[in-house]
Amino acid sequence: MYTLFIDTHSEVITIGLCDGNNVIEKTKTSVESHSVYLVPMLKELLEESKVSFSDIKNIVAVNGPGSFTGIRIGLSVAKAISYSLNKPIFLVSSLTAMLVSNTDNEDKLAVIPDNKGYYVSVFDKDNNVIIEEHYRDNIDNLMKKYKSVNTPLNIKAVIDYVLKGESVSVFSVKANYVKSIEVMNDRK
Amino acid sequence: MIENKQIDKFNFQINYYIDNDVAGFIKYEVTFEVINIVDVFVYENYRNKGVGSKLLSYLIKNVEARKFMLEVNEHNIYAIKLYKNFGFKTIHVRKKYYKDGDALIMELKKDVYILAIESSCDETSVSIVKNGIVDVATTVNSQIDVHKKYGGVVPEVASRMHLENITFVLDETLSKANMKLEEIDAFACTYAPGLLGSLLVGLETTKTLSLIYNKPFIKVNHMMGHIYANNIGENMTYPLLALIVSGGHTDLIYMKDEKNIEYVGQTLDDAVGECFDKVARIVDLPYPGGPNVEKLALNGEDTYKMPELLNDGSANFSFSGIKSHCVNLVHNEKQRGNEINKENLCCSFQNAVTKSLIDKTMIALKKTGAKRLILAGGVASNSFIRESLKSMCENNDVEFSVPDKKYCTDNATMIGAAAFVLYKQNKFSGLDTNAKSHELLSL
Repeated sequence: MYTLFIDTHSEVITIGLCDGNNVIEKTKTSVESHSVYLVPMLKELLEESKVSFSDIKNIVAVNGPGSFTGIRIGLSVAKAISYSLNKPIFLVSSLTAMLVSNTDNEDKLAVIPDNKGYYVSVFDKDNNVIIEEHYRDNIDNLMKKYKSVNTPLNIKAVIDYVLKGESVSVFSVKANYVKSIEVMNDRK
Repeated sequence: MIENKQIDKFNFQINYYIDNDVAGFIKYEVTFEVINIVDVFVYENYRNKGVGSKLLSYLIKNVEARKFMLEVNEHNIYAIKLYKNFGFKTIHVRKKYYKDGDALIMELKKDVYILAIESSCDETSVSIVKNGIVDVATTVNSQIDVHKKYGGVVPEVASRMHLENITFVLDETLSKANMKLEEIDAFACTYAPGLLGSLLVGLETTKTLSLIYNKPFIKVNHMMGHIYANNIGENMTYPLLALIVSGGHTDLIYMKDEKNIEYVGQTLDDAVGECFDKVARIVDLPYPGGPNVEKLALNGEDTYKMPELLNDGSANFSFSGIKSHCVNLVHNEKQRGNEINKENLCCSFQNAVTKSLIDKTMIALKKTGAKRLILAGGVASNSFIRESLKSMCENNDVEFSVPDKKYCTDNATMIGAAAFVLYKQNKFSGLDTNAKSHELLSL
């Protein structure tokens, strides 16, 4: 049985299948919309690895922060799979995915910049939270204090970390936008 | 025991055994997804035991096909009765095909269930449509209450809500229809025109379902959906003229048949629905403006003078003039400290716009010679416009049809109805289909 991994928060689409030990993965830098590539990539991944949808045990999806549209494309696909196959879905923040992919023996900082500021999160070497993820305008002090990670995504490490947590109901899957827009504040 | 054997690339034979003897068989050939039944035969000592019926039932249940066809002698009443019991219908008679009589060509079409998703603006909708004509189940989740506060649709909020709602709406539709996704024959959705972020949620969901269940994916133009809303319940007949009136479109389209689309007239600037919303805003009516303008107009009188709308002999529309006129009128009256009679303004505005719709539609009817008019789009839910066009058609000996109001505003049923037309033509789309914010109508 396999865990399906989907990450579309940045310009790189990453999907993978993990059976506990081995990972088969596919990545693509999207020059058009992720919409053009994601579902065909999924089809290829399954065909090439001779895995069928019924072999999928659970789904791990990155739900942000990052490109709003990118995240929604990945989550729409993840939700459709989870709902129709009735398989649990686990969500993971893009910052957390970056941090747990790194195995250095020190405190670490993950940064995702946008056009006005930075989404940040800090973990210690054992992946305990030091600074909860949030949005800020300036990261000079953080950069002085912590080493920022840029290790490539380690799908197996992310899956192992996420599966220790709880799955969410497919009906309550939400994107993790971190910073909410004015209109959504009003809703609360 | 029943066994299905492949004879060659296209030919198959189903044998029915009783005590290891072949009691009867069906021979059939497969061309694309049509099954041509070549022979149904039951050996003499096994007749009247329901062997033929068992063979047919096995074929229809177990062999994937869109339709089954066969030919039978008109005098073979037992066979004809059997075929009719299975739902076969006579579609053609070959005169004197047999020495002793005519041959009947009979056909059985399998029901086609299309699951359609619509998410182009602020409504998340999922529908299951049977044979392009029957609304099996539809769910529409409207975000009006959220967007009301801002006087219009906020695209980012709409996209967020589509993602949160889509699974609920899908689940609700399936449970209302009492169906499983495995029973769906094709998956369809709106891919253009609309808000990109919103379209993408429906599009990705639909493509994924198509991949999981290995069934065709059909992309549908939203405006095509509005036209085919007229197919729900009863099929349209061609040729026809379509007047599409919505928040983004005011089009006159001539359709010679199901496959031909020709633009006769379009708006040169604003769409009629956009104008209704603008007038609603300047007299402080809440979003969505159209229905509220209609409500006020009901109690008003046509007292405000409106400018003459585009009168160039063409079937094109222009509504930016009347929009500016209403804005200036309200503004000037406010400056002078005069009160605006909202009811009368709405009534005068609605009358003027409706007159333009009627005038231009009449020009288009004359130009094309069409004797049939269909009305479609969100603004087609306006009762005054519906009634006015209906009586214009009655006076001019033109057949008129307009969908139920619930199929005029955005819904997935109309997308399923339009998708069926594409399904019949094998017009399927790839899993790399992207959403588009703008696109002219196409089939």
